[in-house]
Amino acid sequence: MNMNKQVMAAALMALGMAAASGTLSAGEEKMEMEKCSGIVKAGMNDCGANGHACAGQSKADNEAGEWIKVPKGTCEKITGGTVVEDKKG
Amino acid sequence: MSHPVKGCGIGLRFQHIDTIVDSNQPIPWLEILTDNYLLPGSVQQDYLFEIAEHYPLTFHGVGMSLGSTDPLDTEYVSRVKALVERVNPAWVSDHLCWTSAHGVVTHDLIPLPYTEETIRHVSQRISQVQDSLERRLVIENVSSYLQYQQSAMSEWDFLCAVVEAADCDILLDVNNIYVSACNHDFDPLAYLNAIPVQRVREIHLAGYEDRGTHLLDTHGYPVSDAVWALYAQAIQRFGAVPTLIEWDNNVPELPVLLAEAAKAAEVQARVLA
Amino acid sequence: MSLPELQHHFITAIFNRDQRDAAALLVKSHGKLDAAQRVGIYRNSVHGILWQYLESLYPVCQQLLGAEFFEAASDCYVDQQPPTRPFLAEYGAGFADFLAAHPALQQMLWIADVARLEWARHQAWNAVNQAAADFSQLANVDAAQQARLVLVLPASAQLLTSAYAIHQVWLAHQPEDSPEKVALEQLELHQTQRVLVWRAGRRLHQVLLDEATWAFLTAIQQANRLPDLAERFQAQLPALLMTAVQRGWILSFTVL
Ligand SMILES: [Fe+2]
Repeated sequence: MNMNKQVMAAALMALGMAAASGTLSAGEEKMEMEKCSGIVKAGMNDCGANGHACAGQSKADNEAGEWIKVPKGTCEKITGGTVVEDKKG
Repeated sequence: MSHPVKGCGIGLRFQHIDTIVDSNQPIPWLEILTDNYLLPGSVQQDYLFEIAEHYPLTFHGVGMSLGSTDPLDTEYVSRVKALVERVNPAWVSDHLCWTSAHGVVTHDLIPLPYTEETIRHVSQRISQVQDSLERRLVIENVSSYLQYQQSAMSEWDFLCAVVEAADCDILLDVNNIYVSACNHDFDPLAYLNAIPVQRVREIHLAGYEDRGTHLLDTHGYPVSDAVWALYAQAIQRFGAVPTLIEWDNNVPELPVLLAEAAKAAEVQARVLA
Repeated sequence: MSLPELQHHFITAIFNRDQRDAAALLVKSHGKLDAAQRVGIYRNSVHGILWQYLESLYPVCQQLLGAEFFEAASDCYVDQQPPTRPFLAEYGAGFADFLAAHPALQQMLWIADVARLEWARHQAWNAVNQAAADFSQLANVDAAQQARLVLVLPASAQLLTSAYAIHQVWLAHQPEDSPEKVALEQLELHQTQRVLVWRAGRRLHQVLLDEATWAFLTAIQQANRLPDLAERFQAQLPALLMTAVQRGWILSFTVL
């Protein structure tokens, strides 16, 4: 318990130090980013999923059952990522 | 205090927000799709508040579902109201259609049957929203690809009866009139000439897609020549009504949109000279 | 027919192609299209709008599965779980579970985890804005209050763990370069990855966490008090806290 009190005191001191050093500046953040390999995306163009619109869409109707297919995308490039041939198929 | 809305503007799209926030753009006014900014305290609202400081704004919604027989979504209405009070747009519009029913939401604009029953229902709903928002609503005609068996009048008679009963204003989408006129074989001029001049607050222009069997209102192309011609006739009748270019699919670079808006301003200047 | 009945028939047809005929009875056949085809235009438009939205929400899954498969999956998902609220940004939460239950993906369950990561990014972007607390106020917290001190992550913080390399699969599909980026062909798929996604202002961040940091942030998210954190993380705690505050992973604190 005494041990935990010491840990807590050290933790609060660390918090105080982190607060005093302030948030990272843009330059520091960039370095930090590279060091910690964080990824940043910024802005509506990067992050916002398409929102509402008042326009119609043209699109073909898919026949029922047609959707059960084997995916044919970049998953095929990943070792061990795709289905090994379905024996029943 | 909101800036006055005049001339020919463009619809604000996510693709252009960062550019518009970062630089001063020569844009007479912007229309937002209200539904994209309804999360209280969100980064989207943060962007909107910044844009509202620099550009005149109007609010254009797709989610009020004015023609639905489900109860009005009070959470939706109150979120719109909070945003209207915060930003004070020049006006607030939504569509003369239904988008949801029986608890399911399509996020698309579906036409109504044109009957006395529908006029009573939808005008009462518009009044209810106007009372909640403490604002007049501006109602837009939608493109349509079907006619109901039970419709008993033309779309323009229906629209006129609704706005009269609800005492609201009109957002006349000239492209939508043209698309529906082609799809249902009526004279678009008959439509224009039936609309009460003093109620028209705004005009929309957009590009449709010709699907062979019908025209589809995808907002993915420049305004067609036929719609420009119809627009000139609308300006002749309604005067210098603020006009907006809508572009939602294959959204081009900002200068392309602005050039389209400038073209509308040229038509206004030419017709009213 | 009353308006509620008409809307019932129509909305049923939009989300179930086998119900089209009942709705077609309400519609005129004219010109080049009959009534059923006209109802079909609306079914397709609704599915097109939601498909386009889901593509923008799940762009990596779309590439992994291929455009054709994704479109078919989207159509099926929309029919099974149509939107029920007017707020589009809320739609699509169930897509990862839908993919996990998809018969064609039973040996590719990792793709559902990639979908969970993309949903987490969407959630982080849509979370409320918050101001960071003034941590210097911690100096005024007395010993009794320390025992009840709870740290708070940003509302945008999303902690995910997967048995697969979801962070690197996601990275490999980004146009930007980054030090951790590995080509898809070289990627070691079967490795546990712990990911934190959060938003600071208009920037969305995504990082890989080590086991201790992930456990630490999870404990904070579960509102563990400071003494519990001290008990669990012991000598590691000061460094964990310092990093977390500096990187903006801890936004504020409260005394319960
Ligand atoms: Fe419009």
